[in-house]
Amino acid sequence: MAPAPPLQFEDPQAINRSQIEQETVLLKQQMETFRVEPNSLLPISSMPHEILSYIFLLCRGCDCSTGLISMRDLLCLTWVCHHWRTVALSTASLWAYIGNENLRWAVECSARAKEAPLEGRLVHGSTVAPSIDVGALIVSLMHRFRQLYVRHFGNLSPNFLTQPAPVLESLTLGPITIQAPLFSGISPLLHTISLNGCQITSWTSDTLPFLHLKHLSLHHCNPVHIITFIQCLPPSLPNLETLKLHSILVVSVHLAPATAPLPPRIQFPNLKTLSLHGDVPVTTHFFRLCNLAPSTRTIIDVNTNEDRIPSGFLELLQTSERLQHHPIVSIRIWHDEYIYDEDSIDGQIILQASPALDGDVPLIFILNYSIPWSEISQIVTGLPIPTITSLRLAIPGILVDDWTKVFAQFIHLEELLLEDIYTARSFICFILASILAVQDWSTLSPVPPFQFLRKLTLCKKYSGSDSTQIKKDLLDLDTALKLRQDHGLRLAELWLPQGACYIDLLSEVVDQVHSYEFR
Amino acid sequence: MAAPATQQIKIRCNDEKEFTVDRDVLERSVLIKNMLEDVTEQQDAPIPLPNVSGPVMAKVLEYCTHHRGEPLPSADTEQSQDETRKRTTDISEWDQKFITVDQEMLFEIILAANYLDIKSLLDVGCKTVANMIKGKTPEEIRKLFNIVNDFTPEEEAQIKKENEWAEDR
Repeated sequence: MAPAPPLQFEDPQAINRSQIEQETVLLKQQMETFRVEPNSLLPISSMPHEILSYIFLLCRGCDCSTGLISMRDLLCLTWVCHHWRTVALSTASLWAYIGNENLRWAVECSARAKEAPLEGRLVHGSTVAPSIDVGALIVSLMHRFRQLYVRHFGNLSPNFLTQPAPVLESLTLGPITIQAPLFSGISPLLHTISLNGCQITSWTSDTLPFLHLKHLSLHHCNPVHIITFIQCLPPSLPNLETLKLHSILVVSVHLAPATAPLPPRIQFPNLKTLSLHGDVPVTTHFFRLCNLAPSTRTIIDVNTNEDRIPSGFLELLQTSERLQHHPIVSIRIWHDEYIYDEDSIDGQIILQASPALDGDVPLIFILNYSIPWSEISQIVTGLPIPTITSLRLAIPGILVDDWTKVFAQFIHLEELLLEDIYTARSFICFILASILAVQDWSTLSPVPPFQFLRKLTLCKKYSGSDSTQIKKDLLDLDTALKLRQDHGLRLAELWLPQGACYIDLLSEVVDQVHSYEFR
Repeated sequence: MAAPATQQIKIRCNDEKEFTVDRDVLERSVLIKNMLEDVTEQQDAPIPLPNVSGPVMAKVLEYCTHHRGEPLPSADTEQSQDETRKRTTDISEWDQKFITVDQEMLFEIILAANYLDIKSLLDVGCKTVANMIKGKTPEEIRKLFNIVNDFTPEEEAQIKKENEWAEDR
């Protein structure tokens, strides 16, 4: 017979202690719940995970002035509460950024980014601690970069450019020596390349993956290199939509004589925007060797380096079939020593197309007024620019024999801004005569009236206190505007220099001005 | 010839509040647009919107009415615009004024925009919250949204250590 189990007597004190301990744990849990509970009742807690995640991505944003993303803001998000920390750490793309600001923690960030493709933005190598091996870092992450922007990293080894870049879509570099072939030929998604001041001495079709490129920009490159580049392009670039060739160096380039046999033209069947910026030889050579689609928007900035437009270029503009057939052509021609400045446009003509017509690329036509007007006139009248809707003029002292011929092109004008209305009085008279369809105004021949004009802006930099002259100008203007009112023109703006007397003058003589602004 | 009359659609919110709205205004909502396209015959019964209250719907309709006629983002453009949208938290003047509401309403609008699938309104709401957060310390963010710091002292010490590099650059 088995022995009976020993009798057990419960210790009342032990029971109490155990109960108290259990109750303490429960109370602590409840206290913790009560402490945290309010968070779940907050309005912001009603946001689903994916929306909070999207808000965090918006918080990441970037500093537009430097392009650097604020990592401090990111880290703050992980420090607010458990829920926010969970959301922030699970939003992989929040951490998919490697830049100057987080170089020391690039490994940590790339780990938090999990499988998300990385964006790299490295600028000004001199600001990076010497202990960080940026070159090795980029090499190690090259297979993960979707976008890479490396500028002004003087001592950076170009080894990373030979690494495979299977997910790279956009590359901006400069200045750096490009080694061929880029990424060992493995960059299947690369569609955008922007090279700034890069030394590319051996242009070949293998150097850049041309066939898949959609956007290619070469900035600040030696014109000789650009011309060599043009000559080495493959026969067709079927996917290229944007091509920008910008050179800044002024060099003398020896071109083959026009009579020399030329190779078959390079085809750009889908090119939407072409921007040529630099010396005449670059532009001339491009048009000799390349064929554009009729719909290509062409922007040409030419540095003449002379006081006149080279005759060959003028001929090119006026006779080129390719240019003639483009619906929108933007051309800027400036003198080498002239730097375009928005606040100082005296001596230039600027024509600007309606944004509705031309999207983000304005149609601009600027000519330095030190170039003889006869040549300007030839170009203005010779270009296929029938749909210009906005015109801005600042042409002090220019004498034109036949404005009619020039402005017959601009009957679709909707906005007209005239600067320096005092020194160009004859011109203003002509414009007003045109607007008003006045037949006999200072013996100027009329052109068809600007039927679509809805905004007229007159700017005048008066000096001193020549109130008599100002009053006379305003009276002229007032008369013109009143006349025009009968013809339906209601809007006009008048900019005048700051000064109390002008307000009185305005109220006295100009009651048709829609609005005016003192500058 | 007179322009054809705009079709009027009736909707009912979760508090039984009903609105009769021009179809093109309602079609700013991809959800409602798809619902209307699925219905072949004209129905008089209001469309039930169980996740939106009357006051919030009134705000949503104010937004949709102001932006009526503007092109809706297509699937093609949406993807390409995604990156751009994340880069900027700029909000137009009218939208800013529109979204100047108390926090409860702000988050209700965001939820409604998400439910009704009105991407542009969702963007306005989320950008507004992002702008409220940006540049603030964790403590300032907690104060802004009445969030309780639920980290234990040990966890907080750990996070502080983890984030030291940001202070140390």
